[in-house]
Amino acid sequence: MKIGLFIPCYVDQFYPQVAIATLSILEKLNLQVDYPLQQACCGQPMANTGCTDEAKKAAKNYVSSFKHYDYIVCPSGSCVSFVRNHYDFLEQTNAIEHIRKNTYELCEFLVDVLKIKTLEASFPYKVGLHNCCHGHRGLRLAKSSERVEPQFSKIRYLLEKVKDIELVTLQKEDECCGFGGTFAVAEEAVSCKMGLDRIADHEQAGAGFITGVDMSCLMHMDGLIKRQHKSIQVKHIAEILAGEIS
Amino acid sequence: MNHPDLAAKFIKDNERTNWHNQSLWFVRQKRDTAAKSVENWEQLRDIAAKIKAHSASQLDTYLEQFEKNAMANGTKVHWAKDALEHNQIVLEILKSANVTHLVKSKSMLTEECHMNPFLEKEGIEVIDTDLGERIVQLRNEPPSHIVLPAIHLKKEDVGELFHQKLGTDKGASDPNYLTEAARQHLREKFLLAEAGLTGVNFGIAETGGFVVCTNEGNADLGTALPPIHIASMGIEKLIPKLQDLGVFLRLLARSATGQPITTYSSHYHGPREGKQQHLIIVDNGRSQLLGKETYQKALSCIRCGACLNTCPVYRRSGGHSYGYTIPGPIGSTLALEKDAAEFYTLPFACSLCASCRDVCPVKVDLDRQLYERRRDIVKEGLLPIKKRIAMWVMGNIFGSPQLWKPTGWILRKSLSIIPKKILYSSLNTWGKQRELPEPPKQSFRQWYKSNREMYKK
Amino acid sequence: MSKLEILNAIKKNKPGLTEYPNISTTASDLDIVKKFQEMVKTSGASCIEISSLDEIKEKVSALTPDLNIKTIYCQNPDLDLNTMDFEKIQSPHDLQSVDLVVIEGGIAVAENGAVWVNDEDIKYRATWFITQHLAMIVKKQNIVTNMPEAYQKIEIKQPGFGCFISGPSKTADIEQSLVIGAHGARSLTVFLI
Repeated sequence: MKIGLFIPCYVDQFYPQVAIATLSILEKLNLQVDYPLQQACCGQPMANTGCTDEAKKAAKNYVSSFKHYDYIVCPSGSCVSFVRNHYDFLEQTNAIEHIRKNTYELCEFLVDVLKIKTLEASFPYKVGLHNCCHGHRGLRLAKSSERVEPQFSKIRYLLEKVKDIELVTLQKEDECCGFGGTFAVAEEAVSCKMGLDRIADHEQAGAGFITGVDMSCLMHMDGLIKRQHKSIQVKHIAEILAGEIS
Repeated sequence: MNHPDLAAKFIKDNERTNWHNQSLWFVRQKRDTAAKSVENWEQLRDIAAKIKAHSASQLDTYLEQFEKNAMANGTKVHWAKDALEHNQIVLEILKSANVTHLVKSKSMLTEECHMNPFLEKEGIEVIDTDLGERIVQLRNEPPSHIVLPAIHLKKEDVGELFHQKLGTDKGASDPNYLTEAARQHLREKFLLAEAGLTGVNFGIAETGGFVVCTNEGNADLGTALPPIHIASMGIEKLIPKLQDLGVFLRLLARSATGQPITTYSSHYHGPREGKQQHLIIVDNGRSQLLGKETYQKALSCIRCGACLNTCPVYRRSGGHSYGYTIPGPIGSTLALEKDAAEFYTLPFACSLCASCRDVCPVKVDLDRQLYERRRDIVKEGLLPIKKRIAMWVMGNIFGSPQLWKPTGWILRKSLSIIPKKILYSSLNTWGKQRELPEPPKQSFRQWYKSNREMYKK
Repeated sequence: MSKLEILNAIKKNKPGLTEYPNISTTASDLDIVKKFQEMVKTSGASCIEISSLDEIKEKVSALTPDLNIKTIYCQNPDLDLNTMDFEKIQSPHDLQSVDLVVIEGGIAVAENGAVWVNDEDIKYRATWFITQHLAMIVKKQNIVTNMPEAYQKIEIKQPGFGCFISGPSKTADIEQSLVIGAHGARSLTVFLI
């Protein structure tokens, strides 16, 4: 099993600890993991603004970076959802079809492909799970609150294996935090209001940490938290699952 | 119109925004409870979506069948290719019967056609009889929600309005008291009216009849008292068979308000003896939308409003910030059919969370449509030039590792060097309410190079 | 001419044919009488179980002082409730002073407490809506589980008018506060026999 590690562009530059944690989780499972240095970006920021032509360069680079791997694993529900659900703007070649089928978000890779049963991690804190929308409703990482079907959550399944963690109950279990890509700037007022409401929900539930599968959501909420000098913190799920205690 | 600006204005009143948000979230929660009470709710949605898809694929046949059966039960069927023709047909019907007092129950189609001002210019008094619609009519403003027209108003606002227009006590804001006042006021209008106009929730091809759903009974009073009933129906409201109502009437009220069914689900199959029943079939761009594979599913919409209630953006910006007849997710895709240049900010008034898609009883792929609308906006050159250039620059930098590496380094260095005053100037929209991330000492790329042997030179 | 223009545009643009889906309903072992009673109450109406029609007059007399009922419209002479002179009713407007209408309902739906009425034996469609209060007599044997079953049983008279009525008229248009009694009946009483 040859695995290509895909790290979102902004995680590479601003949150390397998330990438290091992701790599360490996979390496601890004795998997052969590469980080092809040719990678840059999946193209989502441009495509989400309607500029799919401008996204082509990035998308093509993504495909050529990863086409030789059996699986591509990425600590981001948003990037993965974009590749799986929206790479149809490219002409579908064998390589692209392979990539779209085999790009996985970290949690779903652990649960669905590796089918792991145990985790060696401890995080003795109260944690609020933020269900990042693109992974949530784009990749079906968990049952969305709108749907009427049996409860499930791949993310919760993993978090519940972390020693001493306490997951809090939110008032709105899967409302959007308001990052939304360029939405965060184009609709700044609504975006920040949404983020502040999300944070308030986690605070009233007693969370010390907000976690999720997308650093973009967490970055947006962290920006608001730091400006308001709040004590609640954000932590990407990879860092919790990797067994790191801060 | 510019959604972000209008939304920012709305949000300035934080307390009111919270109240608006919670009111609509409450309706979403009622919808959830109602949906959970139906066994096989997801299967029902699936069936509804398929009925609508089938109906669209045979729409011409069904419309002809509908017309034939409607005429057989005494309904006069008219066809209007656009809003103007619709309004002209209504006017003609009213003028030929010397009608000067028309009562109207809720019809988003007539809002779309701007029928009220058209008729009023011709000397016809048009009274909206749905309580929420009457409230906004008296305030001279459009509804802010397709099912709950006055959701943006507090009871004190309504109390003040009724005091001025209906003579209720000053300062009185009890909803029971105000509703009673509206009942008395509108009863007079029902009794006076010479014609009643309604929308159509569902037209049934098999029988030539149609269904109107209300809680207040205003559509029924408005059509049972005057001798003339005009029903305005968009072509997409047609369903093939009577039994299809067994699917749609189970989904509609539960999705809209969380009720298992509205108080009245009225089935009209022709006029009372000696009276007139008219039905106007309206196109107004729908046949065009039918041919657009990417957006055609929007025609399945049964106007329940569930997507509005769940949308985190709509809840925090209000219906009036969309500037279109129908706000929220469904409005944002439909508006682009009417005028892309005017409404181009609407598909961007969305974080693509897809809650709307999961809540829609007929499975309209709203999130996908709004994403695709963005692409169309760019293709038509409607994206502001600044944004286009920024995306072109980003596309080149993000598309190439050779450019991204140094750019990333520059960004990190800038964040640690540039003084805060400059960094957080008014040009930095992100920085208005958020701190920028702390730049780490090295990127992951750099860490990987120095920590994984195989890449050591 | 617009009809042709519209139909031609549709013919040109309509998507490829998709099949009409299978609409099958699953059987349920629900106690439908109990469920119906529960849903009638949820809709804001009252549900009174009776064993014979003779009880209705007494029950209605109990309601009349509270609800200020003076005029009653009832087409069934056996119930001995009617106070209207039917000859004098020449238009639906002549019903505007009616306080209570007592009529027989048809098929009743357990999942939502709705009762089907139609204008087969009623001259004016306004009858159910113009009255201040409404009472419907529903036979237990006419209760079905859900809407699909109801549509298999109701008869659509052509021309004609029919309506599923569930509860009294209501609105929540003023700050989401539920108010019972909007433009239609202020109350609904279902006599279940």
